[in-house]
Amino acid sequence: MSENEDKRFIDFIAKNTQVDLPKPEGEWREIMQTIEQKKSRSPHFLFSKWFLAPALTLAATATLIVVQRPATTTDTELADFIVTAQIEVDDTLDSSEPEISPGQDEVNEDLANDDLEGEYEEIYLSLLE
Amino acid sequence: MSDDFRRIYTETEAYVRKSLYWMLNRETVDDVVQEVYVKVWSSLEKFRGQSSIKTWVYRIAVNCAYDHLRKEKKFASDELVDPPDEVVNLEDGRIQQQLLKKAIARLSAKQRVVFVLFYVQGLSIEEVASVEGLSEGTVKSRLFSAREFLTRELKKYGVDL
Repeated sequence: MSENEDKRFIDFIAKNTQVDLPKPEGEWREIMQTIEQKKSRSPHFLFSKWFLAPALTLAATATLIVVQRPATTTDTELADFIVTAQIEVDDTLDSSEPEISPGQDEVNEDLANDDLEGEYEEIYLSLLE
Repeated sequence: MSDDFRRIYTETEAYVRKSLYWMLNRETVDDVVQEVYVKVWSSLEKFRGQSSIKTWVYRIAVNCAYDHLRKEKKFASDELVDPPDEVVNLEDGRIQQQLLKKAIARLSAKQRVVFVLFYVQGLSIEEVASVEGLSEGTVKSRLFSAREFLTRELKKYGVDL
């Protein structure tokens, strides 16, 4: 397309695209009304930063309290249980039989056999008499 | 923010309305203008100043136009009066304008938006590219196709450009 054609085209468009488009009366008011309606329905408006910040702080504090309290109670209960259990174990150990060292059973058995052999000797000798 | 918004509306409203007039059906233009400024309001906090505020508003207007073009598929041609088959008084500005609008209505949506921003509204290639989020090469290519098409269409009615 030549420079002349280019100019003719641009002039034609410029000349024939001049339109008078009046702004509708009350358009600004209508826009603002639509915005207000949208704002009142918007979750962003309901949870604006002025509301959200204190609400989040409160929720965080409540969560901390809820989490902290059972932890303290559990610790205390566990400590009580351990102490009680330890006392019971100690009592049980005090009342039990003496501890037998390894090999003690064989020694006791040998002693018992010795006693029996003595008794058999006495019976045999009495029969010979 | 309300004062800023009022100022943006005052400064850009006429431009936005005229652009939409050449892109859409006349009857829907005022509704879409309202839609544009409601979107401008709701997005104003997100505006980061990476482009000029006008470019940003035009981008919103163009996106709204595309949304409506998708719904409408065609525009304006129903409301335009067909020019007489034989005698067209090309000195009559009103007839010429109707011819032009009818021809623009036959452009594809993409070509039409680029054409209106560049030829009707006088934005530079760079500005059109920024508004549309396109490369300058793509803008030039669409402008070339649009212009070729319009020249052919207008020639049918005796407008030799």
